[in-house]
Amino acid sequence: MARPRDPKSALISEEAAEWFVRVKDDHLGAEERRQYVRWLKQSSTHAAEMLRMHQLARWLRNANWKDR
Amino acid sequence: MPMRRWLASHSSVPAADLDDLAQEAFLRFLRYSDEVLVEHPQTYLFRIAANVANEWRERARNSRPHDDVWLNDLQIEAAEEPENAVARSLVHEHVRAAVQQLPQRQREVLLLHVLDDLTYVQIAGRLGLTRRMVKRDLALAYSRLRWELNTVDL
Repeated sequence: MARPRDPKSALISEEAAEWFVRVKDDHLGAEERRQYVRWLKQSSTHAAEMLRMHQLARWLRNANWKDR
Repeated sequence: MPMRRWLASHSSVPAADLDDLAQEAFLRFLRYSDEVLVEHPQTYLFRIAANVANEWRERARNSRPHDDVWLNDLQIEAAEEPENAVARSLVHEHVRAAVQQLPQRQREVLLLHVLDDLTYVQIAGRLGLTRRMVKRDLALAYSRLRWELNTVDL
């Protein structure tokens, strides 16, 4: 499978993926939402990764699954 | 049409362009105070990104009418392009193939999350795994697919 060029990029996309799941599935409390804001404000890469996660989720939903 | 070109124009924002857009959205996001953002962080981020995309699309329409198709993709749920069904089915196949390459448990967990819209807590209950394991599997699956599918050289 394709791999990011460096471990830091991999870590950021894993963090983005985890936030994506938590925001989608959990009712985040005020403190967790504050953590999320802090994470998003940390770097434009974080914001970019979050946009990519949503793009990816849309590709997955639209991938025309007939069987698994 | 080569799949790479199809993806570049229809299904993905080219990496460099998405980075530019994220950079601009990020700068605007920073101008809001934490107190405002904390209510709906993600809604703010996406609304700002959509605004930037709209502004750029508007600008591009005036200068380069055919070069801005990718911007449409940033509409939160853009309508599917009606044309080129063959290319689209190739892309779908490519996405499914990438999912098939995931380790078995990650794949299973991911499909329950995406297609059955279960939460990681529900998935954990159904599969008899801990919540922590499922959350971890999902994070790994999504981030692997992100690198698999968003690389430019498809």
